[in-house]
Amino acid sequence: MTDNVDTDRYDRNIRVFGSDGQQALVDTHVAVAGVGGLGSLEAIGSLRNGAKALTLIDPDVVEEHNLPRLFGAYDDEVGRAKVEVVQEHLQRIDPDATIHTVQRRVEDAADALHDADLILGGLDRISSRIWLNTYAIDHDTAYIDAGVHIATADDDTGGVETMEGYVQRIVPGQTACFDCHDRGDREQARIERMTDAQRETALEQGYIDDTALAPEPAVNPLNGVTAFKALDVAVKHVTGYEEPADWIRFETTGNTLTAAATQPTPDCPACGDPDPDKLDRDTSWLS
Amino acid sequence: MGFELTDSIRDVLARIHAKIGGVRVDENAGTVWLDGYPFPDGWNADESTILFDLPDTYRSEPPTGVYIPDDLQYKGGYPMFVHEKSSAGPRGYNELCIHSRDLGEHWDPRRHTLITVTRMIDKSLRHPTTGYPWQHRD
Repeated sequence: MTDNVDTDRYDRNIRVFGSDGQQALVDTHVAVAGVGGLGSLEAIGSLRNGAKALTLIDPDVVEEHNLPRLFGAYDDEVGRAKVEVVQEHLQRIDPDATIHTVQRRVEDAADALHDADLILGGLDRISSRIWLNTYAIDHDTAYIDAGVHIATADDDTGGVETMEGYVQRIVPGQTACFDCHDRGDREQARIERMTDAQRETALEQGYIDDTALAPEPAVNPLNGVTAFKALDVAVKHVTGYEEPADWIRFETTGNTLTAAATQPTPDCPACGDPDPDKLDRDTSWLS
Repeated sequence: MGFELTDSIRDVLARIHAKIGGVRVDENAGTVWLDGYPFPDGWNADESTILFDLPDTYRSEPPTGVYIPDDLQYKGGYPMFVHEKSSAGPRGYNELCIHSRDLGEHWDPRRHTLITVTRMIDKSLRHPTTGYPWQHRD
């Protein structure tokens, strides 16, 4: 018998995860960073799995072009904060759950992450993912990063060249982090961080081009598979019923999936110690 | 959150400090000042301050901004790489565009440090018309 688990509601779960596993799911405070096509599903899945405390973080409001992928959002909710729309959907699923909402970028919401036991990422901005990786390392908090990438033909014919999803489990000190294998595109992150004025200047001066600012293609089948792969990793991580993969990559175009265990890279700039022999420490030119 | 002042960053700052004698750090604000930095001939000061804005994610990512006081001029004017009255940065400072040209694209966090960035700045200060200080050879 579990302490505060509704055994009727979670009967089928308990048959898989066991009572202790379900208790762990109930007791885990999950923060979802980025409540869009990935994050809305991660939040819904986490709640339906039993989480009683969630924190939703996203600065954006619902736009019409979000509706094909934003689960829990309806046509008449365009213009409302994504976190509030998804919160209301979650409260209908479980009125007893505590759902915190933070309508800010995750970089400005560190305080809202302090109570989280597990962070699920559904972020499209590379700069936010690099930041969250650093937060997770600094605060010794597990972070499961999920992302998608679709490349289409340049000629606007809509031909799909690549359609991939990624899930990475980052457990500081135990697994590789986002930076261990240089996943972050620093140039893209730099562009994302620019103010509107800086971006305008950079465009005028030719340091960046329009393609760097164009929206990425996105479709809900890819988001769905990726979000639920992230949830699968999260459930294994929390319950321990099976060892989760640390790294998953799949291509929907070829239906291939790769999974791997990872280890921290010793000289990782985020989670490791730099190799002093490689670092630029020469000040002989400075006088 | 602020960047973390790790041992390797302390080591780098200590090496700069040993050369120029003035390094200040505000971890929470993500700011590093190099005071008393020697400016080459042609500038209207022999020494002044260079300011770095560091992201929470430094060293994974390069400085987000590099600045010099806005009263510093080269031969009575501002070279191209000095963004006069840029909206970015603290009041009283002009932004140097070297980071937007080169840092984002070339930053290698396993090798590059604030010494690397300072060397880029130094090349820009010595060769104000240089196009790409990252690649400039003295």
